[in-house]
Parts: sequence; C-alpha cells; structure tokens
Amino acid sequence: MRKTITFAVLLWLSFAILTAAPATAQKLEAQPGYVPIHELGIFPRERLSAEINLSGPLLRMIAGASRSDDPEFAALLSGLQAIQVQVFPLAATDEAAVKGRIGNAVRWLEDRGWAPTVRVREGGEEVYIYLKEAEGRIVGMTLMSLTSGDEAAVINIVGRIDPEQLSRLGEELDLPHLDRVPDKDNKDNQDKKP
Amino acid sequence: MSRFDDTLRCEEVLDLLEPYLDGDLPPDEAAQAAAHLERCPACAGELDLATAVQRELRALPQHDCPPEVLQKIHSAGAGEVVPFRSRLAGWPVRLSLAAAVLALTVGGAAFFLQQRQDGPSPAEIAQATEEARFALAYIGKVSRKASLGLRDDVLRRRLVAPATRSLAQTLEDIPGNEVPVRDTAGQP
Amino acid sequence: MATAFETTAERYQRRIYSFARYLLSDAEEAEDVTQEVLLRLWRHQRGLDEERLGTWLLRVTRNACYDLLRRRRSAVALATRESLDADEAREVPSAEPDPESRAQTSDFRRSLVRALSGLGEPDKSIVLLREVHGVSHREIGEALGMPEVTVRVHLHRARRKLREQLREVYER
Repeated sequence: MRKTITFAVLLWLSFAILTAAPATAQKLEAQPGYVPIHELGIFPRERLSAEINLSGPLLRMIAGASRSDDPEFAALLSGLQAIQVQVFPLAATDEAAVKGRIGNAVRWLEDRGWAPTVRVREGGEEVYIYLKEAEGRIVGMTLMSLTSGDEAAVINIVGRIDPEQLSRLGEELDLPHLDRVPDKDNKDNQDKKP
Repeated sequence: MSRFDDTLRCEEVLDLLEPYLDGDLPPDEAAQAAAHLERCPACAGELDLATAVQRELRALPQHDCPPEVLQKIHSAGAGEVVPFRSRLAGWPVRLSLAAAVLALTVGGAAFFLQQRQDGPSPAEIAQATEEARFALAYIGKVSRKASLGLRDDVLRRRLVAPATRSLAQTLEDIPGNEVPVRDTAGQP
Repeated sequence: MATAFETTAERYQRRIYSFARYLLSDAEEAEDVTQEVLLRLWRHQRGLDEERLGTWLLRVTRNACYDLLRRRRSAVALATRESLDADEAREVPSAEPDPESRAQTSDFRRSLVRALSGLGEPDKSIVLLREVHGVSHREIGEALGMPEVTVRVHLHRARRKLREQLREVYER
C-alpha cells in the first residue's frame, strides 16, 4: 500500500513538472504585465528594423544555457514570461504620426493601471517607462522611446522584474550588444510569438 | 569681504577658484580673477589651499592589483574555472546552492523532455540569447541617452524603491519574515 | 605569449582595482570586484569596441562596487570607513624635507582621504577618476553617462567641498 502511495505521489509530481511550463506559456495574454504591442499598431510591422518576441519557455531555456556563463543574466530571465521589442527607423517618416501613436499607447497603458515611472521630453528625445504592479510586485515594464531623426522603440517585459537589475544589466550590455541588431527577417524569429 | 577691483568680488572669485585652477575659465574672466588674486591675500590663500587639495589628490597612490588575482583571471582565459572567493559563503549560500541544484535537476528534466517534443535547436537558443541581450542593452541605451543614470535620484526613487517594495512583499510572503521597508517612492 | 585578453586585463587592472579600492575602502573587496569585472570582460570580449572599452570597464567597476555596498546594507558605514586613512598616508612618500612638515602633510592627507570618502555620488567617482587616476573628462562622462561639461561642474563642486572641509587642518 505504501509503495502504491509513493508511486502515485511521484507520478503526480512528474505530471506537475511536465505540465507547468506549457501551462504558464498559454496564459501569457492574461498576464497583467503583458501589452499586445502588435495589436496597438504603434509602428507598421513591415518597416521595423528589429523585432523580438521571446516567450516564457524559450526564456527559461536561454536562462538555463546562460546560467554558468552569466548567472545574473540567467537569474533575470528565469523570472520573465516574455520579452517583446519593436524598433522602428524614423528617417523619412512622419514623426508627428509616430508620436501620436506613442501618445495613444501611453493612454492605453494608463487606462489599464500602468504607473508612469519615467517621462522625459527633452530636445528630440522622448522616453516613457511604465511599470505594472500586481499584488505588490512589479510584473511588467513597458518602455517607449523616440529619438528624433533616428529611431523609435517599444519594449515590453512581462514577468517578475527587478528594474534595478534590469537597468544594470542593460548598462553593461549596452556596448557589446547594441551594434548587433538581430535580423528581423531571420527565420529563427518566426515562431517565437508569445 | 573687501572689494579689490571693479569687476570681481571676493565671493565671486572664491566660486571660480577650481575652474581657474583647471584653466576652464574664459580668458577675460581668468584675467579678472588673476588680477584680483594678485591684490587680495585672503583669496590668494584660498587658491593656495585649492592648489594643495588638488596636488594631494594627485599624489594619492594608484593601487596595483595583487598578481595572484590576475593569475586567477588568466586561468579563466585559459579555460579553467575560476573559483570566486566568497566571504558570504555559509549555510544560506549552501542552502541556495542545494536549491539551485534541485531546480536545475527538475528544470533539466523538463527541458530534456520538452526538447524531445519540438524544442528549439541550440542555434535557435543562441540566437534568442542574443535577442534577449539586445533587448536589455536597448533599455540601457535609452536610460543613458536620456541621462537617466541608474543611480540618478529620480530613478532611485521611482524604480528602485518600487522594486524594494516588491522584494519586501516577496519576503513577507514567507511566514514569520515580515520586513519593514521604508517607502521613499515619490508619487508619480 | 600573452593573449589579447591577458594584454587587456594587464592594461586595465590598475585602474579597475585602484578605483574599486577607493570606492570600497577595502582591499579584499576590491580584489573580488576586479575579478568580477575582468571575468565580465572575458565573457563579452568578442563584442567590445576597443575605443569604448576603458569607459565600459569603469562603468562596470562602479556598478559592481555599489552592488557590493548595497548587498551589505551598510553603504554609508563602509564608504566613510577610515581604515584606509592610515594606509594611504603610509604608502605615499612625503616630499617634505623636515619631520614637522612631513607630519603636517600626513595630517592633511589623512583628512583629505576622510573627506573624500564622505563625498556623495557622482562627485566621489568623478574626483577619484579625474584627480587620482588621471582619467579624461570625456571618458568620465562616457562612463557615468553624463555630458563632459556636467563632469567639470561636479568636479569643481566636489573639490570646493574638500577645500572647505580641509581649511582648518591646512591653516594649522
């Protein structure tokens, strides 16, 4: 009898482990920190210079692969459910229209309880950072930026976030990684929509 | 305070001593300051002090890193694992390590089984890693371009304080672990 | 033959370690930070732009130091610790010829190091980098993410604060 109970518990544990990750991934749209940036249509998708959509299971795999090499990066990613990035070049575009759509997105966020954390409008630079809290925890971060004559971007990070860790890693990765803009037409990107 | 010339007063000269010392003043302002300093012993004394401060700062030693530290780093370059010395190592750390091993084992099993179904290839994971790093790097770039240094007061108040609250909430969830955190966040 | 990484590590070790040691007022912790920073360099070395490497290392070093201070939840106590005072005064040979002048210089230096430890950020980092380590205003600006002119303003303000704190010991 005891063996049967032990076996049943082990079976249940195995099942729980195997189903945990897909179950989390399926709920992404329902996560409070998730922003449907495709649906908001801030930038025309066919003209993006970079587009990234990484979902929870893939982020956990990246975290697993980076754990020994870069533990801080791995720790940050393991708490996340999604990373979405759209970068849009502003050369020869109607900047006023882009600013208008960013303004709409700002209102969309504020209507849904996102807290404005940083709002900068200086010279040709606009930066908005919004945080979403749920049950006393930060569960989402959305950054929108526009540099006149250069480019605009929207970034949505979904999941358990330590903004300070995020900024620190961002600062350190700035130099090595910004010059390597991921190729948005790369086939590898196609099936990673959250 | 006495007034020694028609253009600069003592308090104005005292404000300009450091840029004067560094040669950062426009020529006409530097000339006015020099004229004042020649005739005002009190301000000249302050210039002597400012000069002494700079001289002593520049005389402070630049420390060389002990060779054994560099030796360990060089071992890392040769592909060996570098054992970090940690003076924090103790039971909490060991427990964390044990938890990490358990998580890795469990996570590894799940990862392995998922891989068997339709998981991404190592190349796809490498590409995705670059993309994740790019996303974080972009956040860093935007912060710096907007002069929002991490330790800028605004960021500290508005980003770090909420994060501390969030951490406190997590800790409070552990029974018997109520953590008092002073809320310094400003209202956005 | 030294690898490119070893050459780079050798070139920047003093700046990293020394800056960390002043920020932390602790030699052992500065060693830990130097290890951490150089390992980060090793991890990222392929993607680094040689021209901006120096400022990147300074930024990473400063972040690592403040992470360490924060982790120990005693940043103020550590930053104002006076343990380094004696070290600094001992390590620098005085140029003053007679014993009385040497003693005065030593007093002045001790007070200076104490006042320097008490400076806030970014003033402390800027004074350390510019005056102690001879880093250019431009590089400091890049490392700290601020315009060169702001670096100069902070530097002058910080040296003025030091001057005000040292007036008494100087006039003695």
